[in-house]
Amino acid sequence: MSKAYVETTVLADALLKPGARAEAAKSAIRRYDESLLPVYSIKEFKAGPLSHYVWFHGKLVTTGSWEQTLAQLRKTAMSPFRFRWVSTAIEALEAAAHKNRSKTLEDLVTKYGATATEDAVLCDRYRLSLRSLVMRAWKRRRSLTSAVVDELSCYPENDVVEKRRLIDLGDVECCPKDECCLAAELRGHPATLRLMLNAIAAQPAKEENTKRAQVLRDIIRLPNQKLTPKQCRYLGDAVFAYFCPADAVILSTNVSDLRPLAEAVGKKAIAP
Amino acid sequence: MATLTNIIEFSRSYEPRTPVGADAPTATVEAGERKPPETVTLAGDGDGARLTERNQELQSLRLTQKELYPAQQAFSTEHVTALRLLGEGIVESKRALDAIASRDVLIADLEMQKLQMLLPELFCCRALGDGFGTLVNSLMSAFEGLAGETPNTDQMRMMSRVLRLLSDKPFLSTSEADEQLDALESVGLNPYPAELMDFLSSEQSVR
Repeated sequence: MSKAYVETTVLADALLKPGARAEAAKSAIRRYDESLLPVYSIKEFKAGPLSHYVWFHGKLVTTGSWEQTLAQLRKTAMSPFRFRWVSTAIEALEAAAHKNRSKTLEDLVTKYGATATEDAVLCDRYRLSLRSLVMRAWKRRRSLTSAVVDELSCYPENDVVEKRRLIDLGDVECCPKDECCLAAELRGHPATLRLMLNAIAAQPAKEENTKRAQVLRDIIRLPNQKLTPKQCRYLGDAVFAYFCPADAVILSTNVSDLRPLAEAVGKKAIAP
Repeated sequence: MATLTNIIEFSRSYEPRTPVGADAPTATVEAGERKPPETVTLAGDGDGARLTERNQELQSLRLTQKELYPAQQAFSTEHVTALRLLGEGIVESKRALDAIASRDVLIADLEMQKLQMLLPELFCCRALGDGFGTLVNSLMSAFEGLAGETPNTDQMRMMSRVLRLLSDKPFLSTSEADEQLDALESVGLNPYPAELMDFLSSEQSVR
């Protein structure tokens, strides 16, 4: 029986990128007899891609203007934000949005006023689309795969709600009483952690690799130190490589980073 | 038979509601001081509890503001316009379906073109609510996604269904609207603006 262990990037593609990317992700999941979605993927999905959409939605709500939101988007392309839409994509969106505007809109401005201006119409069309994308994605997260596994006792997975027209994600981080619920399991297998640490050392120096290596090193060397939510987040790919069942493959679009870690512990990571 | 209404039946047994001398001030009200609330006592009705009971009974018969006006926008200009446009749209989609049934693709396409062109105006009525706006936006996006292709029979039927739903429930909730997006997607229609989807998909996979 073939099994897939679904990583965050595939979950995000399937739920948030309608069109070719969603289809590719969904059909990859369907190719397996069993698909397993770890709650760690849901946690990363909410704190990552979903929060980026919520940010975009919030800008449309608070500015009430497509032009002003576009200006904010342009800033993200040059900022140290955790996410970025590149300038070329923003320009393409701006051009397409303008091209697609309704020819009848000018007549409607006379009749309906500001509601019918291109700026207001685009703002509301994108706002409504993003709201719907976010809410539907969150609603469907647990029905995408045949099973949801590896529940995290310290992660509340609060519902996404609308409050004062904005989308409220609630807690996106874990709230452990003592320490991260994954800590004990990881601490009990230092040899496996060392294998992953060696694999990271052979990878190009990247900020995320440095942080991940540091956390793995800390768990091995300082077993009495509590594992914090921040450290848990830095572990990222290492969590998938470690917790993926031996008879499953990790399904990820981020195989260049994940594969070395997975192979180090005798597992496979493949792209959809 | 008692009906649910806020019209209070006139009771012949009622004495005048204003007791004699009620107009005369009972206490002096200084400037800037709030006048104490006046109490109304029915002549011959010494039982205060009975009055309270009667008041509660009347309260329960009275329609609330929310029951009378289910949405703030009810019968606003937008509501009236939306109902008119939706009526037109429903007729056009029905004509298109009839034309398809008699294999007249040209007429079907012409009717769908008319439907497509009334949607921007329908979107101007989005003050009716985000559920309404979401569905009109999804129909606009569905047409844009077809890029000039005539919708197939299933797609026409689904669009017609959405229009009828909007006509029946223009103040529908966003979650009710989201359910319809599933239905639109199930017949191969894209309910989101294509350029927005292209843009969102361009984001790099990051944590």
